[in-house]
Amino acid sequence: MNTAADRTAAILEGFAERGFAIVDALKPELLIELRGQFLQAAAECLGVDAADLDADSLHDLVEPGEPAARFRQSLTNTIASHCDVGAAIYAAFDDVLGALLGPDVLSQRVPNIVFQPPRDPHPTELHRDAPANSAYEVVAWLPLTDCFGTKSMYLLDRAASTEVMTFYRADPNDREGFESLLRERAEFMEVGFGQVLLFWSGLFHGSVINDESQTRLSLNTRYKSLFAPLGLKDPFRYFTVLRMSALTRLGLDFQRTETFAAVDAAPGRHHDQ
Amino acid sequence: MMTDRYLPVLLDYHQPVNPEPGVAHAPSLAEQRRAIGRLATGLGGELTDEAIIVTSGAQPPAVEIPANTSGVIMFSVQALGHGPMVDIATLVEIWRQVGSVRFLVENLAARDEAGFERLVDMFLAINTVVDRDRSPTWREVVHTLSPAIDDERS
Repeated sequence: MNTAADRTAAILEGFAERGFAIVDALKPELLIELRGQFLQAAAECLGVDAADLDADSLHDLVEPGEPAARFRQSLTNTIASHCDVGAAIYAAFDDVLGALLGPDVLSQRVPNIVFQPPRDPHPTELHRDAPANSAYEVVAWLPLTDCFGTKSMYLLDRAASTEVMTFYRADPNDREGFESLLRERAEFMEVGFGQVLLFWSGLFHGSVINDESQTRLSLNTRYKSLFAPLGLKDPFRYFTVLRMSALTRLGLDFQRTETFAAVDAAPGRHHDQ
Repeated sequence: MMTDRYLPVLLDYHQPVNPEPGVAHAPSLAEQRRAIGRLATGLGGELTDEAIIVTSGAQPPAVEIPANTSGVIMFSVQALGHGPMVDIATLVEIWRQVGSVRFLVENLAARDEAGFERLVDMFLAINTVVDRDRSPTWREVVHTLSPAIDDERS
C-alpha cells in the first residue's frame, strides 16, 4: 500500500463488500485526548481523581447492574455537556468517513456510551439500526479500551445479515434454528484502542455478557450525508450538521435569502403592519 | 429590570400518538405548558399568559407576538410542521417579530441572526430531502437501485 489514497480505497472496498471495516486512526492523538476527557468525566461522576482511573478497571469502582446503568447515564450527561464526541471521532478518521459520507455530513448529537463491567447482566440484544434508522447511515463504534472476545461486540457481515433475515422470514417461529445460525455467523470484533469499527446500519449486531476480567468502555455514534434519505428518527432531535461543502453553503444561502424575501413580500404579514 | 417573558407554542396532537418509546401518550397542552414553563424559569424568565396552539400536521396560523415578549418557545419543531415539511416562512415571521426562538423537544435555539440562519439552513436541507423522498419518481429510483431496502421499509 503506497499512499493514503490507496489505504482509503482498500478500506472502502472491504466496507462495500462486508458492510464494516476496522480502521486505524491516522490521528491517534485525537483519541488519546478524547479518552482523557472521558476519564475526567468519569472521575467527576465517581468523585475520584482522574489520574487514578484506568478504563479497563472501572469495575473496581462501579458494580454491575443498576449502579453501572446509573454511572453510564451520568457519564453520558457529563460528556454531552463537555465535548463534541461526533466531531472528535470524525476528525480522527476523516479520511475514511469523508470518503464514505461525502462533504455534507450530519452527526449524531449525543453519542451512546456503553459501560460493561465483567458479568454485567445487561448486554445489547441482537438488532440492526436500519430500519428504523436510515439505511444510509454509518455507525462508528469506538472502544476506549482494547476490546476482544466477549468484552467486545459481535456483528454479522452483510452476507450473514441477509442470510439470518432470510431464515427468519422463512420461519419466524424457529427460534432455536435462528439462534443456532446466529451463533455460527456472528463474529466478535477485535478492536483496539486507536481503532474504530465502522459498520453499515443494516448489519445485525449485539453483545453478550462480558466474561473477560476487564471493563468494556466504548461509545457509538452515527453519521449520514445531509442529503441522504432519512430514517424514521427525527433528524432535528437526533442529528446536527457537522460539515458542509462550500457549494452547499452557497446553495442554502441562496435558498434562505429567497425564502426570507418571499416572506417579506407576502401581503398582510404581521411584521409588515 | 423586567423579567423575560416567553410565548409558548403548544402542539395539539390530533391523535393520541406515542411520540417516543417510554412515553405513554402524546403530551397534553397542560403538560406542554408546564414543561415549557420550566425551561422559561431555567432561563430566568416566565411564560406569557397567552399561548399559541397549533394543530399537528396543519398549516401553522399567523402568529402574533404580544408586546413585551422576549422570545418564543415551541414545544417541538412539529409545531411548524405542514405535513412532513417544516413551515419555514412562519418561523421567519416569528423570528422577525421577536428575535429569539427555542424548541423544547429538539433542544434547539436561535438567539442571534447567525444562529437563526444555521437553524434555517438545516430546516431547508431536511425539507429538500423530505420533499425529494416523497416524490413517486424518486421512490422509483430508490426502489430500482436498492429494492431490498425499499421493501423492508414498506
